Amino acid sequence: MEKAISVGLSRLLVHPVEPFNTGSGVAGHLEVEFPQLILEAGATETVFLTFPIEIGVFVEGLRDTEILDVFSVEKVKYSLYGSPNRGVITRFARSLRHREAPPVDRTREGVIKLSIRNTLSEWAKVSRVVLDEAEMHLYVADFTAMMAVMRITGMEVAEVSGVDRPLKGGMARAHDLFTARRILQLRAPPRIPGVERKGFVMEGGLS
Amino acid sequence: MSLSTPLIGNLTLWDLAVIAATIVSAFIIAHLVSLYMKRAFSGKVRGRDLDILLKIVYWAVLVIAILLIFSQLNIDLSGLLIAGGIVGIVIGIASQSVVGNLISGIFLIIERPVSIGDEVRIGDVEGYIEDIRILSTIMRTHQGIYLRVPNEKVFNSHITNYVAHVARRVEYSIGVGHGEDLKRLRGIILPILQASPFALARPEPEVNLAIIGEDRLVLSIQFWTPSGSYTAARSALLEEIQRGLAREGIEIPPPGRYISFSAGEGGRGAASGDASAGRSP
Repeated sequence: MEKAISVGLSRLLVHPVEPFNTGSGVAGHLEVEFPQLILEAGATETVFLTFPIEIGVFVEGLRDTEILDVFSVEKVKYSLYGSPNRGVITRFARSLRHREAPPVDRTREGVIKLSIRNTLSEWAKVSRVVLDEAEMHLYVADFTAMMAVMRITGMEVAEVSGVDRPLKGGMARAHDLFTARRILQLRAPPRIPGVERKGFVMEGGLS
Repeated sequence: MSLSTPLIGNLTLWDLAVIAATIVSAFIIAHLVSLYMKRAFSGKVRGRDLDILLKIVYWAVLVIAILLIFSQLNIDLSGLLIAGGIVGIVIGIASQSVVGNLISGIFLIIERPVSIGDEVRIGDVEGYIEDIRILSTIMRTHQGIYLRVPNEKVFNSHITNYVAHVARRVEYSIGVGHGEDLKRLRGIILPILQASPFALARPEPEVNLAIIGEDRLVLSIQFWTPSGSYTAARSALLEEIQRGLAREGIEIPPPGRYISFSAGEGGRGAASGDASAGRSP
C-alpha cells in the first residue's frame, strides 16, 4: 500500500517498536524459545537472546508524535503459552543462546539480555521466556536491545520482569507505543514511570 | 428525666433515640450499599441501568427501615400488610416476566458468561454481544441483524462463548487416494501451517490418518488459532492446503467405489488384483 505524507515542518521518524502492532493486537506477550539451560540451585546465569521487532513510522510534529504505520520485516508467528482457558497468546520466536550480544539484522531483530536466577534448592531447566508487553523497555542505538530478569520460583514457575535501563552506553529509549495503545484499549493500566510492576508470572512451564 | 419517660403520647426518649438511630443507620447503610454496588457494577452495567438499580436498592433499604420504625412505634401493620400483600400479588403476576428478566440480568452481570463484543451462541441464535442491559441482551447476528434477547431467556439457555478462551482448535478432514504417502502429505501440509502466523506454534499442528475408507484415506488436520481469528484462519488455511495439495498433484478423489481389473490367463479379465482402474458410481 502506498501512502502520501505531507510532513510540512514535521519530521518523519522510522523507529523500532515492540512486536505486537501488526496482526490486530492478537498478542500481548513475547515468547522466546532457546536451547535448554540447566541451572544449579541458587545459580544466576546471563544469556543473550534475539527477538523480533517491528518498524514504526512516526511523524514528529511541534506538539506531539503520531504513529503513521507499523510493519514487520520478520515473519510473524504466534503461539499459546499455558492452557487455552488460562494461557496467553504470544508473539513467538526461536533464538540461539549467546554469551554476549550477537550481531543482528537491525530491521528484523533486537537483543535481550536475560539474567536467569534459580532461587530453588534443586536444579532447574529452562528453555523459554515469556515477557509481558508492559515489561519491554526498548533502547536503540546501532541495534535494538532490552534487559529482563527471570526468577525461577518453582520447577515450572518463574517471574519475568523488564529492566528499564539501556544495555550499553549511548542507547536511547525507543518510542513507546504500549502506553497509548493500553490507554485506548483499556486492557491494563498504563506504564507509570517510577512505579515497579511485578512482571509476568510464567505458570505454564519453563521448557 | 429518665429514658422511659413518655414525651409524645406513649413515645419515650428511648423510642425516639432508637427511631433516630434507625433513620441515620438506614441512610448510612443505603449510601454504603449503593456505593459498593456502584463500584462493583461500574463498567459492567450501562450508566442509566446502573442508576435505576442503585435507586431500587437505596429505596429498598429505606423502606425496610420505615417498617422497623413502625414496629418500634407499635403501629399494627397487619392491615397494611394484607393490603400490601394483595397489591404485591397483583403487581407480581403482572410484572412476572419483568422481574424475571431483572433478576436474570443481575445474575448475568455477576456470573458474566458473556461480555460485550464476544462471539456467542445463545440457544439457537449466533452472533456478537452488543450490549448487556438490565432487562435484555442485545445481539448482532452474523447477518448484521439487531436482536434483543430477554435476559431470562439468555440465563436459561445453553450459552456457547466462542471467544471465552484465548485459543481454539481448527479441524479439517480431507480425503486422499489410497496410493498417497502419509509422510509426503505431512511434508506438504505442515510447512503451510508452520508458515502461517495464525496456526499457533504451540500446541503444534498435527496431520494424522483418521480413517482408511473404502474409496479414500481420510486425513485429520488439526491446529490451534487465536479465538478471535478462528473464522479467518480456518477459511484461509483450508484454501492454502487445497492449493498446496493441487500443486503437488494430489487429488481429492470424488466419492464412489473403485474396482480394479487385472488381465487374467489367456487375456481374459478377472475382477481382482491391480493395474487399470474403472469406476462405478
